[in-house]
Amino acid sequence: MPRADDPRHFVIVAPAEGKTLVYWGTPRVKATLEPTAWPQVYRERSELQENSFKRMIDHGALNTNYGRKKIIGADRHQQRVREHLDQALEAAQKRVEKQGQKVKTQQAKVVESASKGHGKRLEQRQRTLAVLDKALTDAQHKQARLAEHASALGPPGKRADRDFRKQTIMTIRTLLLENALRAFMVVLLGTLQTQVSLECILRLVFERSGTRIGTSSEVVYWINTTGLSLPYRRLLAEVVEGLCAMDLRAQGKPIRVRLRDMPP
Amino acid sequence: MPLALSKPPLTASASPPFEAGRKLGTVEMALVWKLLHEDPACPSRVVLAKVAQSQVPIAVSVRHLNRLRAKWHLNRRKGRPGQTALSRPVGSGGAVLQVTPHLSCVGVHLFAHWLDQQEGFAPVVACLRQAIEAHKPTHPDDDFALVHHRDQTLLRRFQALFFAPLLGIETLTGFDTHEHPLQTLLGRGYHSATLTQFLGQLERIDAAGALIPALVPQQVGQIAYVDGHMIAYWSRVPMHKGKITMLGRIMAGSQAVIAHDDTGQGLFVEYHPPDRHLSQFIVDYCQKVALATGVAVFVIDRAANAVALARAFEHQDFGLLCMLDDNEHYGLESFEATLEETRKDGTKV
Repeated sequence: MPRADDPRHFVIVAPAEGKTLVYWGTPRVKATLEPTAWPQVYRERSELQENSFKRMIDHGALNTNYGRKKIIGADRHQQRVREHLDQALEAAQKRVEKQGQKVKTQQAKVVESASKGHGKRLEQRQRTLAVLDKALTDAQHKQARLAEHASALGPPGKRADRDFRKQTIMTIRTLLLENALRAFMVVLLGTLQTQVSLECILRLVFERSGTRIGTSSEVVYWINTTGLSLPYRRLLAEVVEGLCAMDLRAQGKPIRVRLRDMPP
Repeated sequence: MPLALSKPPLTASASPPFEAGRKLGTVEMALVWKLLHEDPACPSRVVLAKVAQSQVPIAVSVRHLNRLRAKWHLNRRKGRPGQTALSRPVGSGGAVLQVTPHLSCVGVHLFAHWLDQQEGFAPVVACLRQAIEAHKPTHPDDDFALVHHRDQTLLRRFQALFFAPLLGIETLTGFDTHEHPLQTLLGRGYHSATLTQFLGQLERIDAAGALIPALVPQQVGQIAYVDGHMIAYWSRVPMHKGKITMLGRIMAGSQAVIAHDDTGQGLFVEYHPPDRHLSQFIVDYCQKVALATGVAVFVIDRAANAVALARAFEHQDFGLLCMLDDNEHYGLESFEATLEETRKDGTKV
C-alpha cells in the first residue's frame, strides 16, 4: 500500500529466473539518475568498495590495528539491557495490575453466584477464576523474574571504547596509497597492450629485487627475472617497456628500466 | 625522490661505456668500475673479494679483471701496493656513478619516483603543515618535535608510513624486525620508535581531520558509495562489542565507514564503535562527506527499509539509493509496477 508521506521511489528488477530485486531511492536520486540505471549503479558498489576493501587488506594493511589508547565511558551494552528491562518491567507491572483487576472482578462474580445459589454458572465462574488466578500468578512471576534480572545488572558499569585517532590517520594513509596506486595503474595501463591487474603488478614488479645504477645522465633500474616463468617474463618485459614509456625521472634524470637475468 | 648518494658527485667525463660482455653483465661491470674508481690502487683480488661481499656473483679471473682495468685506465702499477701517498689520486673528474647492487622492491622505487614527479605528497605536507600551524595558537605550551619539523622531515616520515605496506610492513614494529629498503627509497632509514613517536604527535595535532582534504581529488564523481569495514580488537579491558565475530565469538573492535566516489577514489573515512548501528549516524556522516566533497547522492550497502531514513535524507536534500530488504516484499505482487524496460536476457525493469 502506498504511504502518503513516503518519499521513496522504487525500481524493481524481475529476472527471468531468480529472486526479484527491489531498489529504492529518494527524489534526489531520481532527479540525478535514470531509474533504469539504478541497478547498474548499485551493482558497481561491489567493485568500487568491497573489492577495494579486499585489495586494501591485502596490500594496504587496512586490517591492522594502530594505537592502544582507550576511552573509558558508560557501559552502553548495560544501558541498552537496562532500558529493555525497564520497558519489560513497566509492561509486566501493567499486566499484573490488569490481571489483578480481572481476578477481583471475577471473585466478585463468584461471590455473587454463590450468594444467588447458581449451580452451573458458579462452576463456570470458578473455572474462569482459576484461569485468571493462574494468569495473575504467571504475570507476577514474570515481573519478579524481570525485577531480579534488573537488580542483577547492578550499578551502572564502565566499558572502554578505542581512541580512533591513530587508526583514522593510518586508514587515511591506506586510502591515499590505494588512490595513488590506482592512478599509477591508469597511467601504466595506458602504455600497455595487455590488461594486467594491480595485484599482478605488485607481485611482478613491486616485490621484485634488482639493481640500481645512477650515472650523471640517467638512472637505470634492473629488475631480476629469476624464477619467472616464460609467460610472466614476457609480461614483465612488456611492463618494463611501459614503465620506460612513462618517462619517469629522478632528480631530472631519465629513468630506464631493464630486465636482468640472474643465474639461479 | 632523493638517491642515497654516498659519494660526492663527479663529472661525467670519465663515465665508462658499460656494454655487457660475455663474462660480465652491465651491473657487474658498473660495480667493479665503481670499486676501482673509489680506490684505483686496490689489488684486483681485493676488488673481487669486495664484489663477492656485495652479493653480486662474478665468475672472472684476476687476469680478466686486469684486462678491464687496463681498458678503463684504472690499472695499478706492477708490484706490491705502494705507500698511500704514492697511490694514484682519484681524478676529480670522475663519472657520476652510484651502484646499488642489491635493491629490494624495485617497483616501489619506481612508484615513488612517479609519485614524486606528480607531486603526490605536496597536498599531504600542506595539510600537515596547516594542522601544525592551527595547533600552535590553541596549545601555546605544547612543545614536541613535530611542531619544529621541516617540510622535508614531515614528508620523509609520512612517506615511511605510506610505503610501509608495499614493503611488507604492516605494524610499526615491523620497521625493526623486517629488512626494508627505506634507505634507498627515502635516503634514510627509520626505526619503529621514531615513527611511533611521529604517529603519536600526528594524533596530538588531530592530523586525521586535517588530512581528509588530501584525499579529495580535484574532480569528484557524482555519486558517493558508503560502506563499513569492521576490524576485531583484542583487549583485557571490557570494551563495547559489535557484529565482529572471530571463531564464533563476538569481538570488540572498530568500525570504519569509508566513502568512495563512482571512479573508485577513496574520499572519506570515519571510525565508530562497533556497537553503534550505521543507521544511527549515517545522516551525520553523509553531511560530513557532502561538506568535504560536495557529493550529495549516496549509495549505501544496506538492505535498509526505513522510511524514516529516506525522510531524513530527503530533508537534507541528499539522494540515497539502497536495496529494499527481501523480507519486506513478496516480489512483484507487492507493488503496482509499470514496465520500463525488458532486457535481452528477459529481465524486466
